[in-house]
Amino acid sequence: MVANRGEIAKRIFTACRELGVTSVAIYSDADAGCQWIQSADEAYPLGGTTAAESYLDMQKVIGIAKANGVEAIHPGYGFLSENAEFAEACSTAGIKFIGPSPAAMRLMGSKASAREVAQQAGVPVTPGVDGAGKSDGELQQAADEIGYPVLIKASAGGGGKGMRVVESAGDFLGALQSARSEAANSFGDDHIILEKYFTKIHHIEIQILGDEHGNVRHLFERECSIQRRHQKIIEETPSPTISDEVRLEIANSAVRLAQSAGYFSAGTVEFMYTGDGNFYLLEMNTRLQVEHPITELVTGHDLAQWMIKIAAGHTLDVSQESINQRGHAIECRVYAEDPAQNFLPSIATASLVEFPVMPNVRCEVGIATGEAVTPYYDPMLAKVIAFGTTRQEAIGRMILALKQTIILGLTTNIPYMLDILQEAHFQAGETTTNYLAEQFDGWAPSFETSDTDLLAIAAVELLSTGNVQASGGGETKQSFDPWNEPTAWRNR
Amino acid sequence: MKFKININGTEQEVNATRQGDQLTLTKPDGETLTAEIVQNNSGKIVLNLDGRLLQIAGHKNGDDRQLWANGRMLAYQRIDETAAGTAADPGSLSASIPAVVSEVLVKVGDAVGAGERLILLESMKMIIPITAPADGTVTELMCAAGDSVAPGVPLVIISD
Repeated sequence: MVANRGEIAKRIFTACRELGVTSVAIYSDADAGCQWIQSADEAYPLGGTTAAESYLDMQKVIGIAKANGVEAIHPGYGFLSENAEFAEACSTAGIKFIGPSPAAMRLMGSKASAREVAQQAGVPVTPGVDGAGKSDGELQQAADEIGYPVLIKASAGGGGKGMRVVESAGDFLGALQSARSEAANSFGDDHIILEKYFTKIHHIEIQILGDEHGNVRHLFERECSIQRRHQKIIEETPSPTISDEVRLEIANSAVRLAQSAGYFSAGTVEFMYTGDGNFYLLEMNTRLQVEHPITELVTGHDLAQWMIKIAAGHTLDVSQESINQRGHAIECRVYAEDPAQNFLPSIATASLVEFPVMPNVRCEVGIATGEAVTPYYDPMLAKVIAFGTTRQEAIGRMILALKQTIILGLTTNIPYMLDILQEAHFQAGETTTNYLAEQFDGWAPSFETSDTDLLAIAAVELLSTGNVQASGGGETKQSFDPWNEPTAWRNR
Repeated sequence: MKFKININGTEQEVNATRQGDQLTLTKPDGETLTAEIVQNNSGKIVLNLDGRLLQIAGHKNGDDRQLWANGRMLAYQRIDETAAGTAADPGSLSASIPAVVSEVLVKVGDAVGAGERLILLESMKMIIPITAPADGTVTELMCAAGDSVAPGVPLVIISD
């Protein structure tokens, strides 16, 4: 069973099917009738609309699993994927959790304890201080010693929540208060840590696979420096920045860290690379990552399948030497949001959804024509992944693939990503985590119109396109309807 | 037909007509571009402009428009002429429900009498005729057999 939704649920159903494992979908009321559910062998309603009422409700999830004889649960990413309590609840219910052990999750899920493990394993960490049990005055003094700019971040955090960059000593206490309250609200834990903040950094992460018999391998790096407000949107592998020596050094550090933590299943060790050969641990993500497909394309290993096989007790019977990077892969995350309006989510119904079918392009899609983007879940619609023998070839193929991706009725970030892919610094591989802020602040789409555009505009007005929505009201119809809710069905 | 659009605050007039499977755009300088309508179904339109194929998909929500044309997205608004006080062409006839054009019985220039059947639409397995409201001449024909048509989109114009 997959305790998740959208593209990642579909991705894991496919892995199950390839392994001959029966797959089970669960879905909230808001997702009833969505196409991704139909990729599973069985589907059961979870009820509820918000994440808390549905995909985050452990009792409901485990209840449905037990009632239907589910043997294992894959949590995907987000929702319950890094929740050690859920992993424990699964095992109490006699269900295998497809992921690391609760102990490893707890150890690596907390930035503070991950730092300690890293220091013992000889993995570089950023100069910094754990805020647990320290007074505001002590923390101010620690920040002064580290030297500004200083980063305050939530120990339990992720996705940029509870994070503050403090430029000078005078701003420290105010930022500390707001970071603490944001951390408490988002994660139920106001435990924060202080770190030296580097201004020019690359986000490099290492994919790890480990089995329950002590074998740990790395599947090389991904560079994820193209971020908007700490949210990755374009990822690639290999990194255009690091040398082969640094690549191996970082990868071996990640393996040591995973071994010290007794880690098994898929995991990702995130590092910041400061461009001078130095790298520091950021955190470990104890789950399958959104951007895992680029690693799959360059190494040929199926990470979703490996997670299932490892959970079934299989040995990771591949040598480190046999794992190679071949060619170049890029992923673009398609979000229902408007980059020209502060990345405001676009909550509406898609009147047309079409993804390209072309060689060396893989599309992981969580939306279909007629389906709505609701305010309840993450507005990521799909991932477009392109492979090429060289970086240039992969970029060219990605540009073509995004141009051939049609999503109408919603505003998406596709035009924004197309402009990034064609920008000189990106093309040269000069991408730090400040790249978007430096190059794309105040971005707006092009409004130039050619004669053929006017002809196309005339065609939309004069011919029926089949995408006409009722005018007037302005409210789009929600995709779910309590009177039209499908009941549980089985597909044998 | 002439209509106005608003692209990022700039108003622009578009003058275009459809005769059967030909779509003609008249530019402000009087020059015309005529394209053949190759496909108009399942949400996609394909035009052939002197051998060049234009792939088009459009979305309408009230006055808001979204256009995907050959890999490029464009958002704009149609400016509602009727709201601005100009009445819609009184002789324009359209479907009242989504339908498919099954037969076009007249051509441009034909004289027609009141009640004469001009176009046959098919919807939910029913044939729905569009008939002339009064005696007149067919001046514009904006659909062809096989087209999916939306309610309110003009299909034929009759003038006296």
